[in-house]
Amino acid sequence: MVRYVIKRLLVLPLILLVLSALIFSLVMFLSPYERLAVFVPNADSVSANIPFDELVERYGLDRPFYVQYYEWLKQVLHGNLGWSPSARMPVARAIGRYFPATVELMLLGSVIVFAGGVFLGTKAAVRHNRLPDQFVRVGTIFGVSMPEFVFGLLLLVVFYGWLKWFPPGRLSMWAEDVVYLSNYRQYTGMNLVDSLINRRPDVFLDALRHLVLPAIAYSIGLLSTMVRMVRSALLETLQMDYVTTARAKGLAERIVTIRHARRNALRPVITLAGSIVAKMLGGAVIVETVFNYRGMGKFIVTAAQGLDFPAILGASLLIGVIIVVTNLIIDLLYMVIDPTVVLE
Amino acid sequence: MDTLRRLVLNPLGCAGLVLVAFWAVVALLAPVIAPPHAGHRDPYIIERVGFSSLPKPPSTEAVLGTTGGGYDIFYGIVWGSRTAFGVGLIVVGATALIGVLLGGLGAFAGGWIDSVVMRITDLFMSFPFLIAVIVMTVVLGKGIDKVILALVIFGWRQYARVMRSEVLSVKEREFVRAAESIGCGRFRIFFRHILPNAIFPVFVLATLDIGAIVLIAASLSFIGVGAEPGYADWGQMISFSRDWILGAVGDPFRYWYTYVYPSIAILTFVLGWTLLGDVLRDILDPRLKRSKK
Amino acid sequence: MRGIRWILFAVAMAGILGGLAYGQSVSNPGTFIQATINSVETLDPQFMLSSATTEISYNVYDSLLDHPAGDLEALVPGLATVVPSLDNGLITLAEDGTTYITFPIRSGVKFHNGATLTSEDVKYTFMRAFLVGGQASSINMLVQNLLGKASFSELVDEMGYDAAYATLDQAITVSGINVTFKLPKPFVPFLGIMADGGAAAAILNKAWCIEQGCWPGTKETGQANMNLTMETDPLFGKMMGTGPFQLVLCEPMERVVLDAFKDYWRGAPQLDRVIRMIVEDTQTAVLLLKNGDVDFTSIDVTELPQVQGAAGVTVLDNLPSNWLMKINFVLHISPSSSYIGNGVLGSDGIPADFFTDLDLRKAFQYSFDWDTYINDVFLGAALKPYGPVLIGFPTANPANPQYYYDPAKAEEYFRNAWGGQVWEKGFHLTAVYSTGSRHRQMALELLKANVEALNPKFRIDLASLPWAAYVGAVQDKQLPMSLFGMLPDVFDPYLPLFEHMHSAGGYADWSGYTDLAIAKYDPLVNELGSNYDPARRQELSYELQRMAYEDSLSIFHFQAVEHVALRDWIHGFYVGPFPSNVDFYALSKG
Repeated sequence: MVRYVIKRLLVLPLILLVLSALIFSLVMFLSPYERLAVFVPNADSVSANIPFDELVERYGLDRPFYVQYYEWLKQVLHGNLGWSPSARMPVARAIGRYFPATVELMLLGSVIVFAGGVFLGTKAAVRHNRLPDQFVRVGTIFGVSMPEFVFGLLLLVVFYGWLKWFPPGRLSMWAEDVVYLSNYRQYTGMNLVDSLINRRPDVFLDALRHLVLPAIAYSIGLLSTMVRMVRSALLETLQMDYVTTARAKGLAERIVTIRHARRNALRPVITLAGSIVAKMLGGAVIVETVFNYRGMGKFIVTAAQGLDFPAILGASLLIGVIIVVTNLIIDLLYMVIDPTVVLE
Repeated sequence: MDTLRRLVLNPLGCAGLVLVAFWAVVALLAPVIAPPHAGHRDPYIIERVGFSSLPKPPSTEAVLGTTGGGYDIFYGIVWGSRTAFGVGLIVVGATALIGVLLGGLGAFAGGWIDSVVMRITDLFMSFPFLIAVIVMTVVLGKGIDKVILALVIFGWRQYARVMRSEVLSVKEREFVRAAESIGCGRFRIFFRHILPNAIFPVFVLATLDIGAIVLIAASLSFIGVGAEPGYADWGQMISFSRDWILGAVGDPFRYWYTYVYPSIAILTFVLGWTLLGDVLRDILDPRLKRSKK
Repeated sequence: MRGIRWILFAVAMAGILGGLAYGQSVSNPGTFIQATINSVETLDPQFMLSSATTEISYNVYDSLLDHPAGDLEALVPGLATVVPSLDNGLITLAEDGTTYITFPIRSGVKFHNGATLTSEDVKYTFMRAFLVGGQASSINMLVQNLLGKASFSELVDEMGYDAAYATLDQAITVSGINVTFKLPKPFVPFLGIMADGGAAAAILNKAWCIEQGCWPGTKETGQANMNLTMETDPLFGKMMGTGPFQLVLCEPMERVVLDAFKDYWRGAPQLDRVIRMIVEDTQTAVLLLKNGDVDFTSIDVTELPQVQGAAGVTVLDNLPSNWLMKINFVLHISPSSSYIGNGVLGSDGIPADFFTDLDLRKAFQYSFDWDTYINDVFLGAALKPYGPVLIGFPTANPANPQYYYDPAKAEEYFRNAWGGQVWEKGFHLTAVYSTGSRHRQMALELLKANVEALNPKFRIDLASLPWAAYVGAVQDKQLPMSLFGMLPDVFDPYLPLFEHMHSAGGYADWSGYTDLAIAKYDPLVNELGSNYDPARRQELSYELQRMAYEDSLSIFHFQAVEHVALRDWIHGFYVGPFPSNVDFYALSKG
């Protein structure tokens, strides 16, 4: 088992190298001015007087791409991810700021997806074809078909614009003052965690309040998928032979459900865990945009649109690592749950 | 055909069929229902009714109204159905094909070929999808074809995985062993015996995927990475409506037509395919179960 | 399941409690909160390229001179005690044209860290400004007129570092409380540049800068501190000046927080704190304003219906702004451009020198429908320019001959263009705009519709490029027409005329009319810059504006107008040249 893990992890540096080389090679398709534009702000308030050529030279954007890649690689091996002009700070710092925000969002979203998914899916399966089941089936179909951004905007308009309960952003003004300006210390970068460590329950509640709408908008699709998966997996196992046998033997219904059926229902849950991670890493963009919530998604899109290669590469490396590690964990979990699964 | 019959008899399946059929008809008849102006070169660019930056409500000129910038909503929705079908079918078709061939053949061949295919699949898995798509569109330029390309390049792995696991299990079945023992050629075994039995989950996946792909493409258009401005694409139409969601003071729903119609379009389109896929899965499930045992 | 219920309960409570808190009258008393979409590209005044960012340095720094609130022609003393002029002898002109301008520096002015302003700080500020090779156009103009070259590094290239440094050192001299600038010839806009109230001409504190890692102020260390990048600039994320507000926190993509500086030499500000937050989604910004979470934001014309009439909100619309946009004809397009088709006049393309024909350019001018553009696209919120000198600037000439929409005239000029070949063979080109730039897109769509209506053989395709690629394409002369404008930050006709018409102004190179500029415009523009006589300046300006009309090198399609919305509890706001750049010192809340 340990050997297996090591074998899988050894591939990681290779994957990262190939990944970064592939992305960087896109530089070949671009003129230096295109990459320069990220150093020059927004389109409209710019006049012709900017010395573009001189800036290209200053930032070394006209060197051959393999030279630039080599420089970058050297830097990374020394632990420096470079400077991100689109975020206006070192790449490592940018990731350190934005990643925890997305993690927070994902955590809350996952709670909704897993807890809600298992709960609703079980209810629906157990009351198969009766009212709760029908309700759940119709609801989830809509949930899966609904465009995220439409849902998000509607939530914002109703719950902020009209009811004023949940504002956009990560924190209210006064909470931001506390976090950035007082002697509050940031340990993880996640407001929910840090606020508790710093013993500020008011900041905790404020952070939670700002997270609710984005988390809901973000998880509605996955929640629906999860509910459906749990439901169908449970239905399948509830009808299986060994369950019938257990029932016939007279075991209480509840034990039948929990012990046997739930175990099997866990498999799709774990599969879905993998896609949640994948989705988290890039897919929170829309929600983050609509709710003005600054996390990795926005950072990545801004970097990509600005052709900010240090940032793109830094984010890609991080994502590559996470995906590989997550896949590994998932495969390991499969092994734990179902010993008959053969890994090669 | 037995499948088709069962599909139609199931109420949800029937609903799905109706929705998909409705949009198919709209897409096919687009040049008739919403004819472009004479001299209008690319029918996929939404017709304009004036240049006003404010949306105009439904009128005789524009049956469903116009968005900010004067784009005719009705035209956009009709031709957008073509875009939706195009993107959905092409992407899913291509990814399914690639995935089925790679995953299936790899699993069938076994050994190092299978390992190589798995490694390639893994590599693509580690690619951050959104970053790759956005960088590709920035480098290659905007346009629906670039979006399709990006989606195809990054979308085939789920088919490969599914196909692979199906083939792995079908491969061990009795009738395959029997065919092998009487000396059937390998390709014949694969295409005549294994593929037809392993393909069902792929169908289900494909049907569900069409809806998912259209949603992803719409999201990409929404964040501004996707179709050219003015292209008939539902996601883009909703992104046009972002400025108008709050309406005017005291009249928050004044511009409802800018987002309601495209949203309904996307929702019903995706819903149709999802219902189809769902019911298809339920129908094929017992067969799946039987084929597994 | 119990876990879920607890979470739901906590969430609901948080929401309700928070909702209850919304009953306040004035939110955040004493703190002014502005929402903007413009992120901060740097805090170093020398590298600020976006006019929106100069708002920050305007409030944190001071310059030697200033303008009275809202009046951009008059000059008042700032950190200098007197405004230099020929009359009071602080400006002296020698026989050969050498001009000396002297500023007596005010005493007793405190920096935010307690240090006192001296004339040494002023000399250091400008020497450093020239060394670091910033992009502030006003400073670059200063360099050009003080040292004779477009940048200090060009001077170094020409005469070597030692000689260049010596020249710079002698151009700015200090004597007691006076700082004197020595210019080789008169430069009229000089005082205007010094009067930006703390933008590019912001005065830094030498000791503090050196502490932060800037240039130590000696000749030996100068070369190492030239041509800074964002990464290597110590002042990228820091500022410390003499202005009414001091920097507390800057997160470049999120917010900037400024606190009042009680010891400001003009007296303490009325506000306690200013927060400038980045809100990228305009919908959200409007919601925040309506809820009172934000006090001020600039509004796009399409959002006006959403705020006009909202409770507690005042909307100021149609405020003229110092931003002029034009459609520039590129006279010599790169032959490798993919936007000119096959490079031959006809149904498949245009020749690379297509726009060198004057009749053709005029034909395009008469095809642009200003009325529809301004009324429909801008909903009336834009101005038709008179010419290269912006409306509201001194010597702007309303009587300057202008183009207007006239299909008949357009057709006439098209028929004459290229000796009739254009009309016969037709043409096919691609016009490009930057993605997301609505005004560019609409301008080109209008032009396309009107031009194509004249002759079925005329074909204009439209394409969009992401901003990055658009800049690249313009630089590489790939585009047949570029849509770029001017944002002069000094209220002097010299600036826009220089930019648009002088051979070194930028557009001459971009659009390919450098030769024409050298022959025809340069002498006039140069004289405009060096002649102090107002009557003669007006004459020159009028002449240049007329030439711009005659030579038709660009379509001046609009001058921007801004709209802002603010809460009623904000008092003291006045409109400056860029209305969304706010003078926080003048404001009070409540």
